[in-house]
Amino acid sequence: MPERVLMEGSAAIVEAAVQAGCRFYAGYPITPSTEILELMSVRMPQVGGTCMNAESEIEAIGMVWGAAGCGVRSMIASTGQGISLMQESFAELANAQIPIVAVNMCRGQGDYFQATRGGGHGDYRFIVLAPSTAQEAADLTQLAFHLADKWRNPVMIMGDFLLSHTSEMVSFAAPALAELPPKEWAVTGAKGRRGITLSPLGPSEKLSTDVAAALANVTAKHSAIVSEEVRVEHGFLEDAELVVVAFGFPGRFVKYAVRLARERGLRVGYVRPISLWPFPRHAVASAAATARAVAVFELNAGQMIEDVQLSVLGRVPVVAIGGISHDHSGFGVGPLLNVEHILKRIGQVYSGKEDP
Amino acid sequence: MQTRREIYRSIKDVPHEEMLAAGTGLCGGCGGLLALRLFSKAVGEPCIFVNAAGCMTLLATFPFSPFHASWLYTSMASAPAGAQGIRDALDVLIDKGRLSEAENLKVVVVTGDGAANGIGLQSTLAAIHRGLDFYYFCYDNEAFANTGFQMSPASPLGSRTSTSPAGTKTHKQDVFELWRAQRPAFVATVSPAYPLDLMDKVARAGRVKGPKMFVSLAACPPGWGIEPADSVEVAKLAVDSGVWPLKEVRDAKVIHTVVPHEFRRVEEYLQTQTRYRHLFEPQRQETTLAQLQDEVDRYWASASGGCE
Repeated sequence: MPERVLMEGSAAIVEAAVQAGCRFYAGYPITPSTEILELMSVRMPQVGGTCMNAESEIEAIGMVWGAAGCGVRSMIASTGQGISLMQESFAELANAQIPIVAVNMCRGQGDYFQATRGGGHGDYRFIVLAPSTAQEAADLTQLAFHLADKWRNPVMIMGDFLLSHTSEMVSFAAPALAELPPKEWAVTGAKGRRGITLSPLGPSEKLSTDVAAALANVTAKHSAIVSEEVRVEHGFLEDAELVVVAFGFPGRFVKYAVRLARERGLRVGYVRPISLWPFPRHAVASAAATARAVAVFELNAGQMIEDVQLSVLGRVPVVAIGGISHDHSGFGVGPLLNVEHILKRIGQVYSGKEDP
Repeated sequence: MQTRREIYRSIKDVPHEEMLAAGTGLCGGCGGLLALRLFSKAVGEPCIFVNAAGCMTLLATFPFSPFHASWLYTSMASAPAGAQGIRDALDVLIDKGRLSEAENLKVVVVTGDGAANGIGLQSTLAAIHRGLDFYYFCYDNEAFANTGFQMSPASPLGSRTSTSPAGTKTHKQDVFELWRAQRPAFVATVSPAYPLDLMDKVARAGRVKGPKMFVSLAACPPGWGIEPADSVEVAKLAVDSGVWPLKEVRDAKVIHTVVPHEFRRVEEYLQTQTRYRHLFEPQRQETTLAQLQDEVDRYWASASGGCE
């Protein structure tokens, strides 16, 4: 059994990244992601890697773009505000099929759209993973580097203030992941063969002047990712009349509230999407098939609820039971993240007192 | 030795009226706040402050601001661009006769060294290039202090930050010289330890139209590792050791407005702060210490313009 260590979610992500072979990190300080930058500035030199304290998020993602383009496992972290500045680069490097891992330590959960839809141009997608514990953050970080290389597609880890700053026991077992082919697409300066152009319009495999075909080729993998990379956790669904959907750290609160509801005799179950893209549509749809209603708890004005609605497709009512909730600093989560409150809202929807 | 001041000759000339109210949420002993308080007194009313993310963003505790002035927050890269928009809009209103000259507002950008030297530099140089009529005030605490003191391009060689735990390997970027190359209407360094020098420069700058650029060293008690009560003393030592020269540009020449009669050793300044402690303990890092003194000596040896 591997050693268990007490550490914050940020530290768990950094250690997991180091173990996954990440050797380049660039970032810019911004709460609540700053600890990742600070820890990387210590850890990268220790393992022969490089940590860059960039002059802005725009430069930081540019550095990660360059390092990943050379075939080095590279990571960046920020919060929603800083991720906003990286959108142009995200879109370009995704279409250039450059695998990076981006950590988005949000303030609250208001950046679900930003993470799953993206704010850049063109047809691109990030695989988005939302851990709910420090241990899961470590596991998903290791997986993220694997998925990024496997699909040659960026992967985002979406966390929040609580995930970043809560200390929990974490262990680092080497994950059983399949071997990946060598990165023959990486830029090498025409070593031993023709030069490689790593741009959205220059797939290295085959030279072509057909722009549309090149872009279609890049996006063709999206449907394969949708069918192969869905990750989800659920519980108490067998006879559930009400299904509650929640992601990330607040997903743990919902899980606990659902267990309490069960103790009180309410037939309630939960679905926690771990991959936000691809979204676990089938899991949500099949849970909803036997339920009277679906409730969505998220700490924003209603973002993931759209994915839930697209999964349920009107078969049962979908009710929002979360909302915007911040602490006084605006960085953390506010009073709505409370098991008693969630339980009360579950009870209201369950008893039909709340008109869906 | 100090140059002759024109407007603020004695401390009695400093007005009692405050533009910036007391009781803000900033750290005790914040050198940047003291400099901004003096700066805003010298600028005078009426003003619009344009702010990019940094320590001073915490002045505007939602939904209030301690300024007897307006406050507009922009994205971190764009404060001078925001100032451009404000200035242009005010000019349109004046042209149309909807705002009298007497009601005209001064536009003041407030940013930290992180924005000034990094993400905001493009926008700043462009504003100088366009000759924008505004004040630019940078409080230079030599790191990203608001997020816990990470390295910025203004972090000096050898200084410890939370992302350069063994000491910064790069040299402090010279934002004064970067600005000066663009020939702004007024450009100066200031320090809250020399309030009359600071205020006189700001007041004289008010006579000219165009970009008026100021950078103030801003002692940061939690980041530098000093007692809040020592903030002004440390700032004074920075000037007296020659580390932070007080200067301005007149007729395309750099004039030093305060020149110590006898320079204190740079080491004396460094030893006041825990961010330099690793240079002395457990072993003295003689190479770095000598380099830091040498850089200051060479600067002053080549400094062309002394006091008048």
